[in-house]
Amino acid sequence: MWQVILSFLISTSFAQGFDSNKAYQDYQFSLETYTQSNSDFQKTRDFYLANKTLTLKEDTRKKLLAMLKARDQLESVYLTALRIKLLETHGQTDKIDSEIEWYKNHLMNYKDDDVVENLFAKSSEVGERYKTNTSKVSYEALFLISLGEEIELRQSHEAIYTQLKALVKDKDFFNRWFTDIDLVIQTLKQNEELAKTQIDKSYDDASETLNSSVASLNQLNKFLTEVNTSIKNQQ
Amino acid sequence: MKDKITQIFTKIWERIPQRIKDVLVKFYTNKKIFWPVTIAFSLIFFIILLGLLFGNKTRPISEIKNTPSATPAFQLPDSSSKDPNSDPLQDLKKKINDFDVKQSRLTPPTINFDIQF
Repeated sequence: MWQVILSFLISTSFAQGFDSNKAYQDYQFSLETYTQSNSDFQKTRDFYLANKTLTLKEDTRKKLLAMLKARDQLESVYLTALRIKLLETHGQTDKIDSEIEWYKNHLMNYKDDDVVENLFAKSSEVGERYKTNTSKVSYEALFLISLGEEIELRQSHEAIYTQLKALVKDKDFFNRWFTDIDLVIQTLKQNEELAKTQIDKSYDDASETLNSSVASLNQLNKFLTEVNTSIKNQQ
Repeated sequence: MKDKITQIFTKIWERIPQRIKDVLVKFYTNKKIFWPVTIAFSLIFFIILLGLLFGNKTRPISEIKNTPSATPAFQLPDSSSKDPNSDPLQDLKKKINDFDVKQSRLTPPTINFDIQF
């Protein structure tokens, strides 16, 4: 039932213009659904383990099936939220697209009369996929989103810098300032390249490098504000 | 004419449920309450009527004034913002402060893989 509701919500969202905020809302909805179904499953399982009857085993199987479906749906919707955000920050979506496709196909494999052993096997497929692909692709996407945002901030500052340089009359005075500004921009570009190489090995390292760029961006902003004020004073 | 009006009011009175009739009769018989209430409501109604008939129909429109804001140090010639008071460098500074490298909102959800029973 919830899948029908979610599908309806998603299709409505597409009709109204699907952006990262709408995708995030869908993700929150799926997360709540999954958390609830997982909690229901855990309770029923505990009850069954305390009192092993056939009726309780069947109840647990049904709750497990619902939870596994909600889990696949959650992964698919979460990856879609990342994909939309990636598109907004001009990142590549090839890897994430194949992951979404995998979860959508896997969700179709569940049958209402699946026996418990089949459900365990299907759950293991997801566990394996998560370990080998999904986790890596998700963190890579998170990094690419941040990298895209950082590059956009740097380029916006560079555009202002170009405009300010064109307004300068006393070139000799400002040249020393411009050298310092160029150095900060250079540092930012080096960090971007370094982080791109780090992401293949460690998300934390790549993220740390990008984090150090925040200080450089603040410095660049401060320098340009100073140049801006000086030009104004000279006029 | 008088008979016609009486007839109409009688018809209306007959349609009113007995319970409400009892309350209305009780209200009318208690003159200490009936007259003050009737006079008070009549006055309110009369004042509203006078207001509608002779009231000033044009509302005074208060002048809207923008809160004075500090002008930017320098307006960049190709600034994309149409607001003359906006400072692109200040806007970017805000974006830097809001920049979340970890993308906290989108960290992967905690998934349960322990399902054996």
